[in-house]
Amino acid sequence: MSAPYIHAPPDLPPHCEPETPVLALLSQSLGTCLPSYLAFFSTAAGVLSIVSWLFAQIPQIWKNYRRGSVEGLSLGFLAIWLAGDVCVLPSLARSVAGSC
Amino acid sequence: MWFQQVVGLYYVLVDIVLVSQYFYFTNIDPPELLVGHALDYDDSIDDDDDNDDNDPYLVDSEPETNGQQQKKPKEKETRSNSSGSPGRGRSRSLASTLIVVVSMMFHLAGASPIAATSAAAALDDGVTLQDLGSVLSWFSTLLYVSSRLPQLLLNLRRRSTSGLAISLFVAAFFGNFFYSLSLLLNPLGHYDYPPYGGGGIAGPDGNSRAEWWSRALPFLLGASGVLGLDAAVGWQWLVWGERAPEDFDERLDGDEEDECLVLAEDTWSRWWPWNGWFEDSPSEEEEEEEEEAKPLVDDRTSLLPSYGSSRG
Repeated sequence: MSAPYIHAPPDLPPHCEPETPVLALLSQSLGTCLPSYLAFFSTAAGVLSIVSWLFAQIPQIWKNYRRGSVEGLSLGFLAIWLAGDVCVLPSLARSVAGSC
Repeated sequence: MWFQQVVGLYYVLVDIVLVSQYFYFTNIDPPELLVGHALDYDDSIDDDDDNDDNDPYLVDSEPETNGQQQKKPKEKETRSNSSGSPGRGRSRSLASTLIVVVSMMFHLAGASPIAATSAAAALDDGVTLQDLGSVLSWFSTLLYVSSRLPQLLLNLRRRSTSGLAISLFVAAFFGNFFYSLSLLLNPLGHYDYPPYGGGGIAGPDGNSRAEWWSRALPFLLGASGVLGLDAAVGWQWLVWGERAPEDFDERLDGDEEDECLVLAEDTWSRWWPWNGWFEDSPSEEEEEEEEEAKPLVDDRTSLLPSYGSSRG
């Protein structure tokens, strides 16, 4: 019998020195350095931001589908938004190549 | 990191779906106007003839309308909403937020296939907005801000926000709000740090608060600007509301925003938020007394008592 696998808590990220044990626990479990509560709330707000974005358009798509119509939507709004999102992609990919 | 790219691609995909829906329902499979009463309704919105009273499908909450005062209050509301502040900056081009946040969500999901990234580096990437100074990001900023204007103008022209899922703009509002908050709370905007300072939040090069803000401030202002534009759409929605026939079906789904559900109950809340928000119709006497060209403000005041508004 080999020794059972032991769940060791993950290490803190390099150079990470949380101010409190709670922050240390958070930093460990989240895998990102949250050395202060300020950093924690900033990151939390960022998470809420992205969560908001993730589900922003779904109801609109559903509504269009249900209605069988896009009456009331502006094509300019949708198209320019798409262009904006496309323009962001290269920076997300961390590559220089921009397609815009 | 691949995850933020996935999210970025997801955004693009969703946008493409919306644009595709637009072209599909506009060109390929346009709705038959005479079949759906909801669409009949829409016709009455766009033609600007103010003949809604002849529209048999208009479910009017004020059955005694004379056909005169029905649309009058809208006149005053054609104002300013559409031209909202040209706030610069961008809303979602949150490349930095994506990096920070996605990395966090990534770890939250516990599905990281790669070694835990240096949190300092991750935060540094996001928070110092390294990429966002690029011309490309500025261009996307411009795009995001300008994207709101066509929709605002269309709403203004239609005197209605029917067809919009207001939740989109609510979500956009909160997306920008939390993004702005995230920037404001960022320790890198508060302190100067030596390399790996701030308990590890600063990168190997340390952090200069002034330099950080010089890059972050435009985006904070930009997000705030789009925040205002999205709020303007929300205000249009409050003012003009939804048209009931279009919402009857969707109300059954239970998928809409509860706000939508509330407004779906009333038929035509094209006036002020408290008109049609709490109750459908003002009292009949007041309604009939109103003159055609009566200013909206008078209109409103005369109606207030029946709603028990604190405004009274």
